[in-house]
Amino acid sequence: MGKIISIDPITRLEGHGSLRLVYDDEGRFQDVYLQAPDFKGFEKFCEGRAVEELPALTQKICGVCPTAHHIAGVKALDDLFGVAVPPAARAIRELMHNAFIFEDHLLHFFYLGGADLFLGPDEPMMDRNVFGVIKKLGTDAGARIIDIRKQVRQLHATISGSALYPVCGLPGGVSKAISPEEKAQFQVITQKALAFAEWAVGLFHDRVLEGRHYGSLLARPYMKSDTYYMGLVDADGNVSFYDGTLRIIDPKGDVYASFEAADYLSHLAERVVPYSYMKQLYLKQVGWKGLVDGPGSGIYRVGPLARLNVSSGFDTPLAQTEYERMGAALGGWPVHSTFAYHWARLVEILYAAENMVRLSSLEQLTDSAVRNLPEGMGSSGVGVCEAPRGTLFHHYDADRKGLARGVNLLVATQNNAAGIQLSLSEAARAILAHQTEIDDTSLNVLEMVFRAYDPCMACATH
Amino acid sequence: MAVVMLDMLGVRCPHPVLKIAVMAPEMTPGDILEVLGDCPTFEKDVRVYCRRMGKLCLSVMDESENKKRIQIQF
Repeated sequence: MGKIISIDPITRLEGHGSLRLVYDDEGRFQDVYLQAPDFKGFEKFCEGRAVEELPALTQKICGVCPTAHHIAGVKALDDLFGVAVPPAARAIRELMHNAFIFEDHLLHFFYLGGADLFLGPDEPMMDRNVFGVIKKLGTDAGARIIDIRKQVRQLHATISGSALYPVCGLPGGVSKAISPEEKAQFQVITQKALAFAEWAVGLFHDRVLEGRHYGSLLARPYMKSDTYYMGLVDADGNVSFYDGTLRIIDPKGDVYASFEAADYLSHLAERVVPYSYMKQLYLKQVGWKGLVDGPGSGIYRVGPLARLNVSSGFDTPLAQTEYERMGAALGGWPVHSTFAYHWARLVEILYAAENMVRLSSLEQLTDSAVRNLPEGMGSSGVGVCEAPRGTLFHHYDADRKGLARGVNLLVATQNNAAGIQLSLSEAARAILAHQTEIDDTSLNVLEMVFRAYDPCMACATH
Repeated sequence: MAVVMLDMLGVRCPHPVLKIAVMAPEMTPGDILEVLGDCPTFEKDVRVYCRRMGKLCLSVMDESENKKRIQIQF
């Protein structure tokens, strides 16, 4: 009988996960499995609850991504109750969502993925954490990172009614208008956020792109997976976090499908795997062909890199410039290197900051008409948004009393689950196939592979 | 003409109005929905709902312990 090496827990990701490395009797590496060990059962125990409770209930799936669940949930209720959202409420929701993505992306860029970017795989284990990053960048930089996250989180809390779990979203709008004083505060904070994002881009170019690790890891064959990609785009084909049309491109970059959220079941399917509570999504019409890439495989990816791949860029100038710079540096779009997720995330930090500046300046932001009352109710509603880690669907079916008959959540990391497993398998085979002893650097590179996706195992098992 | 009761005691804004919206398709013209609630904004929310939806707020009765009983005619 062979042996199993378990890395449990894996670190610097959201939620809980483990890696199992399987070896045969002769000590040869066979395979690797990424496991989500938790099961929560939200989809089941939400049945029978009043549908209007679901955006507040389902966001408790995760302590990192509740805003995305709240947004997808209230959009599902907008659809279910057949009610349009006033312009002010739309702006308020979008500002909150962009603030969340900005702050959440910073969490990954500096705290979780920061050691992979600024330090590298062969740094001592005790330094591969946020303290090692601060040691490398200096305490002034560390203080600046902590401070801007705190300020943007405060903006988020002012809108959402809670520092962590939003309570502001209602079918047809939001519960509270923004005062002129709050708007003035938001404008100060969002300008600071934009200045920070520009500084972070400069830091990335000086310290990461000019460093010796990033380019090397980016170009490694096991970092490249020629998959499909999916993300929301606006009417002009630009990246959109809050709303839009879903676009899927094939590995060559051609548009494979374009559809509205309500049609998601025609395009996406779930599969259960025996080793994890995290179900894997794949493209229904291409089919599941195993852990392989290419146009014949239904594996697709979502998240920052996918959003940049499916879109034609951004409607804000600084993010668009960085998008073009990234595309030119990496050989044009689509970019298939998993390690490019980090750069894509940084471009989105810049976009979120620019978008926050725009939204916080809108005249309609302080309009008191923030909610339309529902007149009645349908039987089904689907909401979609882009969470930091990728596309998020909430689908609620209701009975005539407004109680949930069915709840289906397709969570960002589930979209990426097959892609992450594919990346890990390819990396593990390349790194471990010729090793009899596993060294710390090899294990660290394996962790860097899945960490580039910024997976949220807490959401993925829901 | 039917009179339908809806107990929203202990239920906070905006759920009472959402429940009214859920029940609205079941009501026929002339039916009365009698809603009992104790949320501080209950009366205001229901009055706004009635004004926007063109329903008739027939009566608002104060009961003990901040409870209000409101009749809406569809």
